[in-house]
Amino acid sequence: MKAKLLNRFSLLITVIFVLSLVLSACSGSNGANNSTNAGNTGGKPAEGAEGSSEEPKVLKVAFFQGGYGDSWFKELKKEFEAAHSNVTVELEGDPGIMDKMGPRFESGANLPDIAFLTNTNWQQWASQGYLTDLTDVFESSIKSQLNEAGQKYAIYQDKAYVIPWSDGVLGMAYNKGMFEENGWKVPETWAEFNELAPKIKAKGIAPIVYPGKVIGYWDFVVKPMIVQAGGFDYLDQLLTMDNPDVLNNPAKLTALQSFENLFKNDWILKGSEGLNHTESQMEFVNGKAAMIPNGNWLEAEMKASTPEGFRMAMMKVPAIEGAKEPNVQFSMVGDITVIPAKAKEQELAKEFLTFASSEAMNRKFTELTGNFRPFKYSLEGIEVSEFTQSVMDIMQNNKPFTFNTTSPMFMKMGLYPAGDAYGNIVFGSKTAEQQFNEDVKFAADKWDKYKEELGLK
Amino acid sequence: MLTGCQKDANVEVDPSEKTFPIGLWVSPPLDQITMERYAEIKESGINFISGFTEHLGGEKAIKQALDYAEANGIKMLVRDPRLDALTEETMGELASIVSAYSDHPAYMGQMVDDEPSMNEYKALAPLAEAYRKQVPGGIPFVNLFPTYASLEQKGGDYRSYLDEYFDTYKPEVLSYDHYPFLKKAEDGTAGITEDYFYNLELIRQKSLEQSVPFWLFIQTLSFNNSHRDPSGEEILWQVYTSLAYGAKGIQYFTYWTPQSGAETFGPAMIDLDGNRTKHYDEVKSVNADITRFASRLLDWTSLGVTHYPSNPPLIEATSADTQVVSGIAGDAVIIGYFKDEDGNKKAIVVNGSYEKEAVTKLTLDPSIDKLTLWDEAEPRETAVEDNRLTLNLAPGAGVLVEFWE
Repeated sequence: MKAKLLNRFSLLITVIFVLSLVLSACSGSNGANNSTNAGNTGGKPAEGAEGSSEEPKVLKVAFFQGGYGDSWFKELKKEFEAAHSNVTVELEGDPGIMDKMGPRFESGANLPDIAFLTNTNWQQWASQGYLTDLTDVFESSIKSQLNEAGQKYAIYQDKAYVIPWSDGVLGMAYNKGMFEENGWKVPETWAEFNELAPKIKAKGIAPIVYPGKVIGYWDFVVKPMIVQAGGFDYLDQLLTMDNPDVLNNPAKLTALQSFENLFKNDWILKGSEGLNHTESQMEFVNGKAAMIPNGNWLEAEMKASTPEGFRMAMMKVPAIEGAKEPNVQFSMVGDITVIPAKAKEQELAKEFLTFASSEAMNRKFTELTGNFRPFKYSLEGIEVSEFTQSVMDIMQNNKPFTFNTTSPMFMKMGLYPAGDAYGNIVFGSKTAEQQFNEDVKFAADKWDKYKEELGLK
Repeated sequence: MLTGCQKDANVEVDPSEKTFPIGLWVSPPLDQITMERYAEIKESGINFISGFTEHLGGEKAIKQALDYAEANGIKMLVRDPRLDALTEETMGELASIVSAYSDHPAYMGQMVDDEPSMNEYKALAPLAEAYRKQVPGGIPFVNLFPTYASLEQKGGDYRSYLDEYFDTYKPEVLSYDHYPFLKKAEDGTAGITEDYFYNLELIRQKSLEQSVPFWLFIQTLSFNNSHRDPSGEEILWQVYTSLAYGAKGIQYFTYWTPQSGAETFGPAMIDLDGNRTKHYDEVKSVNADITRFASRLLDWTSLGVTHYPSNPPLIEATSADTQVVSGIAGDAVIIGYFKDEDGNKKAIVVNGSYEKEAVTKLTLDPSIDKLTLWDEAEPRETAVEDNRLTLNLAPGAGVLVEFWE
């Protein structure tokens, strides 16, 4: 968190920063000390008291308190304590928990027994020995329940150090009410989008609004297009990034050109470039634009501002022509559950982890938060909003991918090493082709230097 | 002369000329580079500026800023983004860029980078090397992240972040930022970051290990939705706790209020309209307080810090290599111990609270029979009675105590 006036931003840091704001925005708990501390006085029976002969234990559970709130954790606490009469669960919910965990790991002090955290380069924690190896509980009771993206994400150097906490979709949201009123079909390809956009414009509505001040939101549209065009093999090559030529792939150029066309064709709400994420979302819910790059948190984040009767849904990012993988979804898997290696209650924490991963508690997560766990579980009987249903439909009917990587070269080089691709294209300082070519050249020119700086052989 | 960065032990500085570095981040904008504005900076007690947007006016504006700085007895770290663009192949251009102003009497050094990841050190090192050859005695200034920065930001854990910095960049000054004053909790509690003292201690240890002074940033404003607008007492407290840990320079973040964009900022010392805020007078008062004695700290060695009645989070044990204080009673305090070049013991005692007054009694070693107390405008010598020293500290305040046998 940023906490300093900077002259440089990477898109990754921008998006991570905004996502953390987004996830905290709707909880109403934005202060670092606005934490949930529930459970110090659980009234648990003392040792020897009636109903318990086991030693009283305290299980410390820390979590990022943001867009998912704290209701699920309170439910976990209630149910886990009910099933373990000698255990008191102490909750520490904090929007600033990520700022705390690094120093806690490094100092070895003040560690929770289990922590639910936002996406971070946890592989470094694992390699430093800060995280408990969860392979035993992963293999025995959790792996088979995880979805594909979740299973993949948990592993580092052949061991499971994290269990993914949440899942969701990054992509495009649309004004479902507007689409239905006008008889517009949700475009499944960019060709269909090209036919629809003029019809939207004819109504005096912009096809798309986006947050110009957080231009990284375009990742939610462009990255799916890269995977559509290049397939999962190309995605693997990108995320491994073991040679500079990986950026010299027509899939990336196709995606950038598709992005460029949105602006060339004037399908963007005027003034978008000056909007932050909530401002752009306000334009969307006020009907000024039909679609907006966004994620599954949108409905919850805009709950207080959304006009009565407004209906929104997520749509799959339209497929580019000739897509190798037309049906993909940009999974939000990345938030994690970890047990610190120096946590006091290792076995109890693993029990809690398994409990939190149960069908019942996964269903409860969706019921209480309107969001998803990265598990395969039934949502039958759970009342969810139209928006949440649309997210679920995308998740269940498309192949998930993430851009999570452990490649130090990818983290240094990035997708657009020659500069801010989206900004360059939007403001006309580079064409998509120029950006593409300059990225290729930059990677080639800097490859050996970066390898040396990163200590790579 | 601004010191706190005497890496070259052969450079002798007249003690009477030593100045404790007190700097600022976010200097006046381009259209406010005036004699009056720089006099205003001087009036606040700040004695050096980190350049910010002067370069937007080209060399002319940089030189103008240096001229006004010199006229007001202020030094300047120049920011010139042309250096950022230099590569190994073009590093030869550094000389022509910096020589335009590096001979200026107000010139102190060059802003090189702010909050780099450790993956960037190797790229920065050649620039620093070339700079040092071109400007011996100049500071190629880099400021580091705090402990609460993310793994992605730092590129690794904090100890590695510091180790690699010294191995690769070999700095003259160890500078970092850590903004402790978080947004108030729903119940009104005005807390600080959990790792504030942990960060200070890691930096203190690294500074001693490497014999390189450390500087840090003092929070003067609210920002984003995470950090509150600090009170005058809180600003005072952050300065004094920094000194207690052995800081040999401070910078205020920020002086001029930055424009909000992706990050949002409350008013700093000068607001967006160019008016002084309450923070201006608060900082002026703090600077007047510490400049009575701060230059002395430059030659002292930190021996450790004690927290009474209990250690701060993440620090399991604190210790101070001193026999002078054998007992503490009363309200919470933080005591930073030092020794001077002759081995005489010193302490900066800071109120543990920035909200309440503290009355604290120190039991002194019987060998201590005289003290110099810096609790008034002028230092005063006093004899020790009953091996006791009672200190009354205002919220956030600290006092320097010198012990004499």
